[in-house]
Amino acid sequence: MQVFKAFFKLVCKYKVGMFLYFGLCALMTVLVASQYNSDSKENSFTSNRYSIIVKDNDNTKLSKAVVDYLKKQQNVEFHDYTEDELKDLIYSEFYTAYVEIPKGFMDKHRDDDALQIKTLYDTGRASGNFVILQLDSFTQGIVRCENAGFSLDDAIKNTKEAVETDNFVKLNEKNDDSNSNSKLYSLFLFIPYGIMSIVLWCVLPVVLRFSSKDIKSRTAISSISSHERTIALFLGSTVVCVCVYIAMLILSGCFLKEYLFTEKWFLAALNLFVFSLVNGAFLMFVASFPSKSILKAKDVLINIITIAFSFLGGIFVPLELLGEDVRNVGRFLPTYWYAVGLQKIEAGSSFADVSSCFGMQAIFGVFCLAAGLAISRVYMYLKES
Amino acid sequence: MANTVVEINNLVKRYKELIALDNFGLTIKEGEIFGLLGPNGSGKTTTINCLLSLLSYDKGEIKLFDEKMTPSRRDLKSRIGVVPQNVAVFDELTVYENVEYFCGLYIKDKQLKKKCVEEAIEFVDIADFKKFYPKKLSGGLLRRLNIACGIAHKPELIIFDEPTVAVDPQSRNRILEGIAELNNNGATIIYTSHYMEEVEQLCNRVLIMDKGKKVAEGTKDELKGMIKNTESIVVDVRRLSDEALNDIKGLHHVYDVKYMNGTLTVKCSGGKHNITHVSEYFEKNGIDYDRIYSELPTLNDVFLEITGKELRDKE
Repeated sequence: MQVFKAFFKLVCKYKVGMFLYFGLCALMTVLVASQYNSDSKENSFTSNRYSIIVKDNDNTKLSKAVVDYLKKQQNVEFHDYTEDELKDLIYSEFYTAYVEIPKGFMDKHRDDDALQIKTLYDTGRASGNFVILQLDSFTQGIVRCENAGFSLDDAIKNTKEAVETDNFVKLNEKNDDSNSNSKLYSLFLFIPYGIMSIVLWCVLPVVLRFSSKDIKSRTAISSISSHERTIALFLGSTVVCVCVYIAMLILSGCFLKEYLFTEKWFLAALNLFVFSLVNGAFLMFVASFPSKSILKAKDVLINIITIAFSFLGGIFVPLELLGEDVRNVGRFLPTYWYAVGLQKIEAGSSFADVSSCFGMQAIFGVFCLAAGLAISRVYMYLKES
Repeated sequence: MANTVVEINNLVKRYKELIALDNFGLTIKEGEIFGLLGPNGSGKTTTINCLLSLLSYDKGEIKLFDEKMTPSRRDLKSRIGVVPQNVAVFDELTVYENVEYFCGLYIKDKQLKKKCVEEAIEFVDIADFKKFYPKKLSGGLLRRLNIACGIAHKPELIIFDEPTVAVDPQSRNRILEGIAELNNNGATIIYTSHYMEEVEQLCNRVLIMDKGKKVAEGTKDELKGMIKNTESIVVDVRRLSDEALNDIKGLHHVYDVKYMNGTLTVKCSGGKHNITHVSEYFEKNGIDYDRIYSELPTLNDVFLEITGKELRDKE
């Protein structure tokens, strides 16, 4: 208990550094959250453009206006395909629709037996219907204006204005290739870096202080055994990790009100909790090396560890962008499994699916503890011999 | 008869090929201030570390307070206090917090702990610096804090490992007075130091060890009696012939003479009136001298004669 209490007294001496790192994390959280807030106000509904094939056989003022309008609304391409090929392409969703303007369209568009624009689309899909409706409304708008007495030029101009100002909101179909991750994912992704930084910068020096040769010997000759001392230090580190975890959770929770207490949030919080505990075990592993040499290289070492773990584990760079070799290295790090777990949670996986990622992190933690104990034994043996 | 506090028998400790302790043994009685002397690498620290169960040993037996000492004997450890050579305190804690931490490793009761901490701080006279951090303390104050951390739990056996290294004479004097006072209060002391005058001033009994073995043990007088030199007569004389030097060397009880830079040193072994014999020789032969005085051997002489004068840190 005495070591445990003194541990916290010493940790308190590093509170400035702790608050500094926590402040940095808070700033990052605010920045990430504000990005999402601004999106929701202005860009929540983004226009989704579909690829369509257009063939203009008329090549007149009116047909060009129709093509221009379609170009503004969708991704227009000009290809020559057979009808069967077009059907295949539309069926396999390479294209949403095919629009062919027949020759003489401008001359006869107001006639009752007007040449109709030939269209090909999948009537079972909303996207195809949507494109054709856009086309219809545009052409019908022009006819209506002309019937009202406007010239063709004015009719085109008025209709363009009408259909464009009409579109405040457009259909937004989810695209699997996009990086539109949720706020929960984005906020939870960088928190491990914050936890690692706080714990390594502010707790590692304290554990190393207790592990310094003189203090360790002085404690060893007291009525406290070295096991008790080690357990007290491990518990102390774990408690600090959990406190930092709770603080981070509260901080992120302030910006994740819409996700709070949902299944996703619980799983993400559990993922972070496992990572925090593993971080405590990793701290004990680092501290098991001779404190003198670690203290000398502390600053460099902590930077290397936190940055390397974050890069290789997909915290700073999305996992998809990492090369296969880098990902193979990353698989040995808890940050990697944390990020993979978070991706699964984001994709809506259940606890059973994500539990393998928790397990991999836990294995890393157990390995750290075992390796730490082994290293301590080796140094004790070297000292004795 | 006083109880035995420390008993070490046939202790052997090897570091691979090197034998750090070679069938080493000692006995310390209750109430003693026991000086443990030896050149660098002689095995003093290894002995203390084995005694405290910080190191395992290959052979032998260590008993504290008549009971076998093992790493798990917390009851025995709680009766020991250690003041290590290096100041082992937390720079991040104040003087009071440091003493409280180390005292708390032994004493759980809050009231008792507080009392012991206050007393230890008073004892080493650092009450004015209670709220200071160690980095703000001078070398002497740091040493006193180091002592307070080792004695706060009122141990029965206190081990001082060179506690006065790099402190000014005033602090050294205060520390030595404190150690004597602790002894007067009933604590048994083991004291290691390279300052022979301190050991001579403090210790009742001294053990000199070298190369892992005990080479001499006894009271100061007993140790002084073990060496050949019992008296050195120093004479300031301007001119002295080789013939006179030979004559002096031939005087009764004289076993060595040295004449250098106008100073003659005559070393005697035994005898009671050696200075009279030397001065009589000078007067009889009409040799003028300025000053003549006698020096009794010190513990330093004993130490050097027993352990030799060659440097130990050469390799």
